[in-house]
Amino acid sequence: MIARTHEVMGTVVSYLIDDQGLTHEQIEGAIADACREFTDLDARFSTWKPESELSQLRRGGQSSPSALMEEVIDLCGENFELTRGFFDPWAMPGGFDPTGLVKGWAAERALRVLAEHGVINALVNAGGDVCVTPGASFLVGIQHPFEAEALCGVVNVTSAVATSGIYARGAHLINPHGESIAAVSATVVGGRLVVADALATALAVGGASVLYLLEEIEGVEGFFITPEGVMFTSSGMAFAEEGATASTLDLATP
Amino acid sequence: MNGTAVGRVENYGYGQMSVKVTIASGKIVGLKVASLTTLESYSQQLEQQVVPILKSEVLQAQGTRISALSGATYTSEAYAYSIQSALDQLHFK
Repeated sequence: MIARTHEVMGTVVSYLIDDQGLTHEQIEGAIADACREFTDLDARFSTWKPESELSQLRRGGQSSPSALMEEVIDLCGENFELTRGFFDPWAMPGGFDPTGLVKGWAAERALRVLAEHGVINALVNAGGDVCVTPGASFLVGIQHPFEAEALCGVVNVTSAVATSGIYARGAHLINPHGESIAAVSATVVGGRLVVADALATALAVGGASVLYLLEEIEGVEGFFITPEGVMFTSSGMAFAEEGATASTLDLATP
Repeated sequence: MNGTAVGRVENYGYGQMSVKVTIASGKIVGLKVASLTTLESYSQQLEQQVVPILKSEVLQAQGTRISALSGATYTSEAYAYSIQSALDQLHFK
């Protein structure tokens, strides 16, 4: 396995790539192109860079959005409907802000770039939003919301996992329905990362109302943790270690 | 095509909602939930659990391999102190 990190989009993207059967040049070419994909998308979708297409859109100064921007707006609309408005990039202070969704979407695109270079077994982790190549399987630890050096669960990921919450970046979530935020941490496992990402945000905001929606979406499970430290899981949520006093993280011998 | 329309109220099992859509030049430019009610019955069915605390020093005792960490988005500084950072360093070996 080759590991690489890339600072972009205000966070750190970690790559984990099985290099079996690939030359050094192939791997390096794949990683360079995946990083370039992230850098290009950051330049287009940054809310911090005044010249980015998204900043121009937010200022109202743009008449014809690019195909990529249209794709993101469409994904935002689809996920708004799927989450019954609990994922709402239009409700953010300062105007339309798809940042949360863009990160997972960019990770999916970077993973596709790797696949185009012949990589068949890889993981991309964009600041906690994780996707893996089809057919691959990786154990992913879920960060504990109250204990910095601990996990609250370990999940076996064959497609994607996303966690959203208010503990890492302060209160960057808002409830579009005007109520308080239900969870300090919410995790969604399965399906497309871009959808898991939006669902995790919605689950953090809406709690039980959104957990109910997860029950109706095939291949997707999740859980959330309230500020009081109570955990609620969807009916099919499976942890890699049952009983979860689990001893699964081996930091000593990779 | 421009305008705003509120969709019909839909049932979604345990609640009801309707959506307001704003269109400009044929594109969706705004979506807003016009109404939403959620029934209490689903939340009352949910099983409450205590959050497990899996400490890394305890976890090291056994051999299952964690490849990545999922958490609420960390900033570049927070990454330096994260378990993900430790994992990335280990994979370099």
